[in-house]
Amino acid sequence: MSKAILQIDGNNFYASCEQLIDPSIKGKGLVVLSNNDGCIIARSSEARKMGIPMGQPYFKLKNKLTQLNIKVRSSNYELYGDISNRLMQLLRNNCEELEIYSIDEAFGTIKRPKDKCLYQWGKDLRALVYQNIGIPIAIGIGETKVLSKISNHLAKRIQNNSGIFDIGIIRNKDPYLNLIKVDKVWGIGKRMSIWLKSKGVTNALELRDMSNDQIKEKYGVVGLRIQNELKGKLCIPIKEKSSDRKEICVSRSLSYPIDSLEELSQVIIKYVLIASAKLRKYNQSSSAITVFTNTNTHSKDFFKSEATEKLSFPTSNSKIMIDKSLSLTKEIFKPYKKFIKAGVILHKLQSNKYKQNLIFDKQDIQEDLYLQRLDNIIDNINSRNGIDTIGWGSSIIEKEWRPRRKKLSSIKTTNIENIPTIYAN
Amino acid sequence: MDSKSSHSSLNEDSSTILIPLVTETISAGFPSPAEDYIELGIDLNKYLIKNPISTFFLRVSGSSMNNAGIYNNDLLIIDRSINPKSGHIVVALLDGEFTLKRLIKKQDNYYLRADKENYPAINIYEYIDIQIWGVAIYSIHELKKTKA
Repeated sequence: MSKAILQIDGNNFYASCEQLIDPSIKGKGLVVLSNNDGCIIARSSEARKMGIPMGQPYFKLKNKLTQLNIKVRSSNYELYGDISNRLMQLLRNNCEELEIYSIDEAFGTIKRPKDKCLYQWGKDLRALVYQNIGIPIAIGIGETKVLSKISNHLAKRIQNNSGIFDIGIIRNKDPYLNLIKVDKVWGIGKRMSIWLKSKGVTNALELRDMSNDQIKEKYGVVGLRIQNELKGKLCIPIKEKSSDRKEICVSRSLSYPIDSLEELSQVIIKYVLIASAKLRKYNQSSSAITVFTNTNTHSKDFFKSEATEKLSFPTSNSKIMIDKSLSLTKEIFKPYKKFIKAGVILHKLQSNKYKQNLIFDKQDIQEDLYLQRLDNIIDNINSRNGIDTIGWGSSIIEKEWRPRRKKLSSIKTTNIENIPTIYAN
Repeated sequence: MDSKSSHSSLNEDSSTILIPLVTETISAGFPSPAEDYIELGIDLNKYLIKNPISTFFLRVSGSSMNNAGIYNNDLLIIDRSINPKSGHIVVALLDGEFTLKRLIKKQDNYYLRADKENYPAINIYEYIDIQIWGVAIYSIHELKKTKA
């Protein structure tokens, strides 16, 4: 028995979720838009076949979408989150280890009986997921994370949409690695792929076979690890606990340009509240905060600014962070600029399990405990009654600048008021 | 708040309501032995939902399934993990619409039938685009007061 690494993801995940609960768009051209209905962030396979590109601004393609009768939906994150939770639980029940990598993607492990192909196992899992949750998945199987990711690409490309590929039992992987462009190899960033291409390395096979001195010199252990994983040597382990995130970033495009300090402050506070609630959910604290904003990147007088400051001790408290971010917002603000994007980053996250309280004086601890209780109460109310039920006075936001979601399907699987209707006429 | 429970709607979080089940009669005057058993409770979630991962809710509109005890505006609980068999009430996808019918097998043919007279049964094999979305397991019906 050896250990096989799995890489599993939902096909066109957002589009598949929409199609699951709204049968009228099943099997049809469909695109899902980003926050504020800005860009196309997901396409059904039908829309993909009709040549609709990813990441394009919606307004540019609006006419084409109408012509092709492609349906449009705003992103419905409540729905995607619920389906994702179901998917991950089902995968966890069927794999030995599971690392949730993103909303629609996970790495897992499973024992491989001696030299046995896991194709049938994957096929059964795929059918199980489709029956229970109603979304299609692709499964890549290999000896390492990098190879399983390649396997997943192959599953989508050459296996006639069966959605499963097991590169782990293939002795001579050369012809398959030859098919994978180097920038599609997991862990190879944009800059690294440019460098590799300048060295004549264009695909996964060439990357595996290039001199390891060269890659080590330029990219150190990180580059070497990717190369070794391509050779089938497991270097990047499965991480079951995803709580070791290092930072949280909340940023959005604004639905209209902002040019007053007061409004910018309110937006920033709003994002601070989202970020700090997230922090508390994962039982972490942050010890530094950054706020940033910018004007339109395409405008002639493009302007951006950011400011960072350390917090006096690690915390997850909304009030402390609001105070800090207000002074930072004053620093980044510049009159007569029209800001269209803003955001907040919380850095140096640490688990509260390892928080050292003793070095702070008692006064601080008392206040911190009081504020923690306050946060808990607010979080509880908001989780029970919906985000924004209760907030801080300084974060009162005019409705207009909430993200635009004009094309939102009102249907969700998480709220009794919004569940789909079935007609029995 | 328990930080772990908040990010999954599937976890048994604070929305679970336990109704204590006490079988002993309670006597006044001295401590009831029943108190020791108060943690035994009926959790409707556990009773109605066998498999949270594959359970979805739908709201019923229409009266064609009244004879099956499913009424307009009922809350329908669907479990996708169940393999549909003859006799099950199923949510089917027909021409891009959810439809609620009873699945019936007759001489090797499968039919979808409304529980109402004068409704023709649909022969599954005559449709290309047909899919069973899930099997309905419970319908929750609100009882309304009528004028006495």
